Amino acid sequence: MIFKIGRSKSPWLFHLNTGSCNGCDIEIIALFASRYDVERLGCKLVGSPKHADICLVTGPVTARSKEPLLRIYDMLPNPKVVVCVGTCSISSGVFTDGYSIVGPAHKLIPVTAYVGGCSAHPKNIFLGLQKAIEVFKEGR
Amino acid sequence: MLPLIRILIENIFKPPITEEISAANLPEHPGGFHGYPEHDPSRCIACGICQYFCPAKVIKISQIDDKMNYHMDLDQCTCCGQCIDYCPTNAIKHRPNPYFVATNLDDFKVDHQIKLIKCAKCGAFIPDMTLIAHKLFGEGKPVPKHLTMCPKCKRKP
Repeated sequence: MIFKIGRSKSPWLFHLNTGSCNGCDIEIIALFASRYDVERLGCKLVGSPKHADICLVTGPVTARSKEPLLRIYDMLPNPKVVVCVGTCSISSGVFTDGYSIVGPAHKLIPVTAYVGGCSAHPKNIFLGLQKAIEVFKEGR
Repeated sequence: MLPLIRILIENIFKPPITEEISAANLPEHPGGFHGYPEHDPSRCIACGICQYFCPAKVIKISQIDDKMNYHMDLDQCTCCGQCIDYCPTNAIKHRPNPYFVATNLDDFKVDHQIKLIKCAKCGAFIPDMTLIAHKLFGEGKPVPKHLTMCPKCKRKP
């Protein structure tokens, strides 16, 4: 019970780039600036997946980044939530059927929320994180 | 040093810059934003120009019996606005805000049915060109005969 409240009050984020063009990555950094301040939800960007509760995946999964994605997903402690940020992460976008694309992230790992847009607006990522925090509140 | 002190004193009286965002109360977005495209089936004539110009293969138009099925995979859309620029009847418009969050991939699919009319001579199904005629010849004028016939009947004398 105490753990459930604690997780929903302070979900730490880990940002994972799987071949993104850096557009969505810049918007995630803008999310932590003072205008769309996501730290009021208790979120914090951490550098290690072993400290994180939520994983933000950006970019179509390239052949090189498939193994790191699976390894980092295994490193996340339970309960874990994956949020796909941007069009590329949802369905590979304009890179679909490319020679080095092994498919969008939901083919490889279970995904909770999809945040649309190219690139995703900080307001939109904010709403996606709120959906992810609802999962911790329900204790799934 | 003095300008810095002035800025500090000004900031004491300013309201906070942070925007209030919650799922129930979404803030207004400034105009002219390239949001996701919204399709209006009542204005669409299923000409396929948007399908030709779409760089991400979002739009797929196919004929099913007496109707045209207009399918959009919005999960691949990059909101570039090509379909909106080239649409001859302004059937597609940008959404004014960027909000689009889903927990299920089926929320990104859009399916619309567009009705077709029959050719005046042979009865084959052709797109309704009334809106194009209004654009060319002005509102309220009668649609010319060659726009109500299929290509085969047009070539016959």
